Amino acid sequence: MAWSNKIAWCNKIAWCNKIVWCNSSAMLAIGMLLYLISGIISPVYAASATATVSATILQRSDVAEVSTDVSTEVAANSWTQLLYSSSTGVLTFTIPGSGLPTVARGNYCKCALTGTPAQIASLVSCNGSNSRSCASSVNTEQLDKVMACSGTDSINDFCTCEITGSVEQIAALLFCNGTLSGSKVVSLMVTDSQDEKNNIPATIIAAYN
Amino acid sequence: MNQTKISLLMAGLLTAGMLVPSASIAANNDSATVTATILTAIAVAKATDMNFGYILPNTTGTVTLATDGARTASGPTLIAGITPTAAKFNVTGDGTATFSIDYTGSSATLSDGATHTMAIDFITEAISGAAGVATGKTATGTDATTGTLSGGAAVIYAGGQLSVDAAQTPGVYTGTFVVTVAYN
Repeated sequence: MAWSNKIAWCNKIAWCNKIVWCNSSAMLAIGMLLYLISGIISPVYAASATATVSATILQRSDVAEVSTDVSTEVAANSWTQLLYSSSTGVLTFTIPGSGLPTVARGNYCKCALTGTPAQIASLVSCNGSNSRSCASSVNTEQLDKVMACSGTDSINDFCTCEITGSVEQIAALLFCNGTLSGSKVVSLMVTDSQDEKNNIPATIIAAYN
Repeated sequence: MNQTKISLLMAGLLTAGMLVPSASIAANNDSATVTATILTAIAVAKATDMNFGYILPNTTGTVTLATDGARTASGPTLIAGITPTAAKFNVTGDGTATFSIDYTGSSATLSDGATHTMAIDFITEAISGAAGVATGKTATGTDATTGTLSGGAAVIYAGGQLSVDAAQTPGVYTGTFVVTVAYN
C-alpha cells in the first residue's frame, strides 16, 4: 500500500504489516472470485441455433400438360373430377391466338372463379412488376371484389367470386400470372354474358406436379 | 539531556500517539448490502426450418417468404405441393431481459450442391413472449438485432427473399440460417 511505504515507522509495527498483508490477501481473493464467476457465467452468455433453408426449383418438363377445350371439359364433367381429385397441380389458362385475345372490345363476358382464397389470391398476385403488365389493364374494383372473397382453405368449402370485365381485362388478369397454383385445381369458365351460345373459345392446360 | 529525560519524553510521545489514533479508529461502523443476481441462462432452439417450396423459374425475379410463411413471387411461378414455412426459433431466458440477435454464419446463397446457387436475403423479426405471432414481415434490410423476453420467452421468425433466374437449374437448393442470441 502506497501510504504505508511513505510512513517509515509502519514497517516496524507488527499490526500494521498485518493490515497490509490482509488487504493484499483480500484483493487477491476478490480477484479469484471474479475470475471464477466469469468462468461460470461465460458459457451461458450466448446461445445459437441453426435452421435449414431449402427451395426446390422445378422445370417445365416436370409438369405433364394436358390441353383441352373448356366446353369439352365441362361437358365431359372431367373438370369436376379434376376439381375434386386429390391431385395437386397447376392450371395454365390461355386464350387462342398470340398475345391478348382477339375478341372485339365491347363483347363483354362473365368470368366466374371458383377456388379457395389462396388459389384466387395467387391468380391476382401478379400486380406489379410482371412483364405482362396486368395491373394496368385490370380494373381495381374487380380485383378488390376478388380479394374480398372469403372462406376457408378447404376443398369442401369453396368461395366463389366473380370478375366482370372485358375479355381483354380478364385475359390480362389470367395471362399476367400465367399459371394458377394451389393444393387443388381451380375451375374457370369463360362465357359470353350477352349470348350464352357464343362462348368464347378458350384452351385450358391442366398441369400436375 | 540525560537518559531519564529522554525516556520520559519518549514515554510521553508514545502515550499521546496512542491516544489520538485510538479515538479515530473506534469512531463508527457502517455496512453495505452486497447483491448478486444469477440470470437464467439464455437459450435458443430451432422450432421450424425454412422452406420456399416449389418454384417454376419461367421468368427471372424473386420469391419472397414472409415471416409468417406467406409466399409471393415477382417473376417465377409458385407451385403447390410443399407447404412453405418460415423459420422459427424459441428463445428462453430471464424474465423481461433484452438480448441481442446475430445471424453470423448464415448462408448468403442457397446451393444445389453443385455449382448452381440462388442469392437469399433473410427477413427477420423478434416477437416477445412464447406465443408471439409473426406479423408477416416482407421487408428486407431491416433485420431484428435485438429482442425482449416476456415471461422469459421470445420468438424469432425468419423468412427471406430468393433471387431466381429464368434459367435456374432445377433441383433442391439448401442453405443454413444461424441465430445467435446473447444478453445485452
